[in-house]
Amino acid sequence: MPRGAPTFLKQADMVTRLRLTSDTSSSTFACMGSEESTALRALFPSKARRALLETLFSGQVSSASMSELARRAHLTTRAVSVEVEKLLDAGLLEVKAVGPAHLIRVNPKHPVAAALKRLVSSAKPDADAATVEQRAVRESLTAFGAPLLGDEPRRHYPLAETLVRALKLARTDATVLRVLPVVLAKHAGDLDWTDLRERARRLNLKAELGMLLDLTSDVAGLPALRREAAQLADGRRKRERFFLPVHGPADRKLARLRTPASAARWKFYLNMPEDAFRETLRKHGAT
Amino acid sequence: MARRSYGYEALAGFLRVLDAELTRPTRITVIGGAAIGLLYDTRHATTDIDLTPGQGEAFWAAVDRARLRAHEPVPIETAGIFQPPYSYEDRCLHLELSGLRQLQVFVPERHDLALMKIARGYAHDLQGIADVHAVQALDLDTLVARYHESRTQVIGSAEMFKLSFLAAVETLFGEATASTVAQRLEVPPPPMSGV
Repeated sequence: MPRGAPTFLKQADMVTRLRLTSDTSSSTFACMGSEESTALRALFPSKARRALLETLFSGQVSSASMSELARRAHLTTRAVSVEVEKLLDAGLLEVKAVGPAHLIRVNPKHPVAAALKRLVSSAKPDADAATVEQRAVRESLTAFGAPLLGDEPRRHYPLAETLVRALKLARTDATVLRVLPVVLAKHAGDLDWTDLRERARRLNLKAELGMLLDLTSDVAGLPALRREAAQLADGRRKRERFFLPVHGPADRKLARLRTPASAARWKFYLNMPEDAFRETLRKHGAT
Repeated sequence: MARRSYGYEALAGFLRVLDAELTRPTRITVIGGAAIGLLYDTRHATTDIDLTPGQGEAFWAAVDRARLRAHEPVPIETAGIFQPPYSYEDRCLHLELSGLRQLQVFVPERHDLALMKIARGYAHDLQGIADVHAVQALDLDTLVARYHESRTQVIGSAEMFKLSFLAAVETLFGEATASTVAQRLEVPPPPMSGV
């Protein structure tokens, strides 16, 4: 590795020299997932760089514009631009012109590219602190009757805190969003509404909570929830937003076409019409 | 009892209990979230087992008995509407589960599973496809081919099906790839030989 090579490239070269192979029995890292994730964080402490590497080297996309990379990696375009420039300088990425667009992609010929792909693909996101919290939220939701996978039901948080944290998670997880009305319908009589509204306010989720209450009122036939939702209304909110991440024009169009009336009242677009929620409620005995 | 969602072990365990209640060889095809959880991503959430239509009274009687016996009785239903690609049955995969004597469990090949999800194309359907792709990458050309196989059979709007398909491509491969795929969806596939 040349003397003047950037530090991160020396780090990437170290990855190659550790000889990560697809045969994990002979690899230095004998087990999959959490050790690779730890290695990735140690080698690339910058969260922005790690997010960009994970987006491009995991195969999430084969090529993407700067703005799309920013969206997928949950970064600002400026942060992406800084990291992309460094990775371009190092030869790990290349730019391809497609019509007027310039798309960024992995340079497959770089000697470290293959090792980086294996490392990123093997790294288990569960080791990440955010994912640990997500699992705790899902376990709590399950404990309160949500039909979610897998994990044993465990009440990590009280009901109101579980609902609010799950609402935050639901902004990126359609499965969690889908089951929230089930939990709300089952426990509407148990909630301290003032406490719930205050918790939502602290996390800047008032509109999301209002939408959830309104939606559950519509699909579960619980008019009292609409009255609670009305206390969250804020006439200043004018801008419409997509509730879940969208990945392109077709995805955005679907969301605009299928938004339930309750979501539209709260200025959200959502590719999950009312019948998606009704079906879940029907199957899980909450109607 | 509050229903909850079931992982691989619970699904497989229930199928073994069901198998013990059957008195003759029975084939079922599992679709939807259970198919993803059983064959492609054991972490994938599901809330019940959806089957393709065609089971008789004897099977459902066995299901009722199994649900009474099972430690974790998993709800089983016939899917209300499912819209598979034309020859999906030829491509179904046999799920190897130890301990089954009468029950033969099949699961659609993952590209067919993706097209079934795309036929409805809600946000959680697209998320399910992404879960499969994260574990076993889907091939874009195969998806396009299966799209053309499916589009003459889809119930509902052809335009919405196309939109859902493009949204799935955006999710899996990115916006730039989806914009080039859109042109390929307008071109009908070459005619089958001998037709």
